[in-house]
Amino acid sequence: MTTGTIIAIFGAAIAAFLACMGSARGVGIACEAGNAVVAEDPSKSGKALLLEALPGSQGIYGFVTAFMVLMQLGVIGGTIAQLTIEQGLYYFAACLPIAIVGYYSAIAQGKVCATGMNILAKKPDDSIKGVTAAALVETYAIFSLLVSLLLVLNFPG
Amino acid sequence: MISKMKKLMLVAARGDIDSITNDLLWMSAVEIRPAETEAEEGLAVCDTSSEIAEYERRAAVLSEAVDTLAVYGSKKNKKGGAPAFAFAFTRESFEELRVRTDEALEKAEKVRMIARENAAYRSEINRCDTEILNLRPWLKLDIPLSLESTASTDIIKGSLPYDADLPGISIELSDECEGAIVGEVSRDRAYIYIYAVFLSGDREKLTACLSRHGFSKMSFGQYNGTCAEEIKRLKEEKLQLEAKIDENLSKIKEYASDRRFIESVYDYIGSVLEKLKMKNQFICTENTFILNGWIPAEAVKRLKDKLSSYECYYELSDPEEGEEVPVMLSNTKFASPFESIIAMYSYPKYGTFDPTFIMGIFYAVIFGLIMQDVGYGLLLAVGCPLLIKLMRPKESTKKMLKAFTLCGISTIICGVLFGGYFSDFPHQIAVNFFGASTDTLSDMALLFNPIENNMGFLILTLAVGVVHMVTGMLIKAYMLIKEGDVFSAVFDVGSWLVLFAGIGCMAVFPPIGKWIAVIGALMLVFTQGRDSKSIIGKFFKGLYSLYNIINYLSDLLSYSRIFALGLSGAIIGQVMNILGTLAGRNVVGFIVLIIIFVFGHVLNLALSIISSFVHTARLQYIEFFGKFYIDGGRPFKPASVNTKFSEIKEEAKQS
Repeated sequence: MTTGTIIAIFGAAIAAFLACMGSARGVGIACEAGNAVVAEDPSKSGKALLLEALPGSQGIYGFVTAFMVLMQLGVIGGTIAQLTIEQGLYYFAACLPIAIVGYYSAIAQGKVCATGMNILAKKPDDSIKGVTAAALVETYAIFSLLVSLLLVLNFPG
Repeated sequence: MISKMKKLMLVAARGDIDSITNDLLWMSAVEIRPAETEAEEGLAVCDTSSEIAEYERRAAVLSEAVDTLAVYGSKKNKKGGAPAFAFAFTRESFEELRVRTDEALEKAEKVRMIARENAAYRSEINRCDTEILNLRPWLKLDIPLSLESTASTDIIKGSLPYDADLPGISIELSDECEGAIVGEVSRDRAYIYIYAVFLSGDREKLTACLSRHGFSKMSFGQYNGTCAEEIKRLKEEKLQLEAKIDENLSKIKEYASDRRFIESVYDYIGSVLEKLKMKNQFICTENTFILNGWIPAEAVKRLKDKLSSYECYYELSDPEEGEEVPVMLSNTKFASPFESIIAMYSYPKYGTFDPTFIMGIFYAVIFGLIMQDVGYGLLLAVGCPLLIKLMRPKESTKKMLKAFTLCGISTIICGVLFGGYFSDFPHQIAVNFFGASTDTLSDMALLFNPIENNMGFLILTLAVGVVHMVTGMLIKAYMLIKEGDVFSAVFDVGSWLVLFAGIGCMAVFPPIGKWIAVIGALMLVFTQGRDSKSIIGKFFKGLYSLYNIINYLSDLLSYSRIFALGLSGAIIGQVMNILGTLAGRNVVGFIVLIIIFVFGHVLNLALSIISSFVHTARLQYIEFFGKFYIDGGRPFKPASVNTKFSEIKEEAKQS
């Protein structure tokens, strides 16, 4: 295995672990707030779950990016590609957007979801508006995921 | 379309007040306006607040009974029970519930009493539990708990902190008080439970000594037996209470078959309340009453038919300038579900433009472009009507689900165009299970595959954006022309369109396009500053208006979210498909495939639904509505029979 390949795998690793770490924190923040609401009124657990699950998507995005990189490197189902250092750095750079934006947007989204729990507690009929607000944060995670994926998929070779 | 509203003023005989109110309620087409009480002699609001309070009390009793029955009454008693109470009502059968109100209230009251009795029993059980918990440490003590002294000795009981040095304390005690004995009964994490026996005269010395070590005394004056006996007694008491609760529960179950009946009467009481609240806004004189309200123009004929059987006088007039008129949207069957999307934002102001139909088309198309998957579309198009059937959701949710059904159909169409069948599921199966080569496999997309042709898809989404925004601007022009302001329509909207057309033309045929764009820009520079007073102000303000091109550009780029969401959804689906087929073509591989397929696509579908819904709505609210929409309309809320549990047959509501 060449140094380039190792660098590319590093990229896949940080895409997965940073984005997943962000999601873990985001979901954690939302769940803490959600449990307080559910403790008051257990019948709201369904809607609370929706808000709690939202910051989880960045983890999926990180996972998807890492998976695509590993696929292309042949780590999954194939022979491992021997990359030059430049090629390895290309993959590494490709992984950065979703790794970093995924991390921060998941936490930001977690906070929005936590305040969304207030809507759920006080005006349950309007709780969808909390979801809407949280989905706006998601936009940036999706953009960065797309940049990462476009870079990975269009690897010039 | 925004329905035309008429102001209704009706004067009728006091004797007809009940039947007219009732008729208006069932018509579901009149919104009562609060009376503007005039300070004239003999005019006063018909005060029904005491009746309202009484009926609200009744409604509360019924709803408490319904809640209890919902929890404890078994849902159906199939054998031998009374036939299930009607679910759907006509006007006649609903109003017949009036004579059975007392019966329902009586039953509800009984259910409520039983439920309250049970609540009391439950708190008794809790008390027993706490007592047992408190007594448990003393189980080994085989003298009566209340025994505190014998002929010449005293006994005290209590607890020491868990880390107290009992042998040490014991020695200390025997030094200070002769013959005193300390014994441990039991210990737990926090305390050591002890007793001390000592000569009656030593009490003070002893307690002082024990207190130094953190002793706290416990007394059991109310227990006459030994601890074991007392716990046994409490447990028996608990059993008796539980038996009583069970007995009561079976009594409640007897009422289970009445649940539908009580629910219906609750709904009926709700309609009575609605009528009382209507009346509360009427003005009454000795022999007449006056009613003010709003009615949509299309319902006027029905109103006239209704009122022809009464001796009354009424006036219908157009709303005055500046009056806050409630807004009712009336749309075709296709468009009306999308009113729910409008309602989430804000209704249009009365007299402006209702974009529901046009927005509905764009909503469905953009939603479809984001999801672009035959499989997901089918799930939506089949799932949403199914939910409506099974869940009987309230009207607003129903509309939303209907809108999603239409979006599902659009998703299917886009799926066919862009080749999404649970993302690239057929492709992955063919390649990984049957060894088809990636190259020879014909493309599933009718149009093109967005994953392979990124740029094509991006341009397509931006093109949709252009159409969307231009439509919005044309609506603005239409609104201006309708107001008679043709000048503004031509120069505020038209010049932008000319500019855009020029820019568009430049891409194809630069020499002509350039000049069209210049004409558009000049139109803007010369007209946009017309509000300014000085010539210089006019010029610079006109020039400055060109800066707005930045806003149009950022609006346009905002449509790239369709591209981002659509593509990332497709790729996530693709990853799930690859993961699923990794285990190969065998039994284990097949099981793995099913698990990952279901889990992965449910996850992706959920993510896609949320993002399609939110981002499509955002494109409507900000990029589209921003061009023309005048919000702030108050939704029209006619008085009508609103039921929580029962269904009123549609024809009854209209009659």
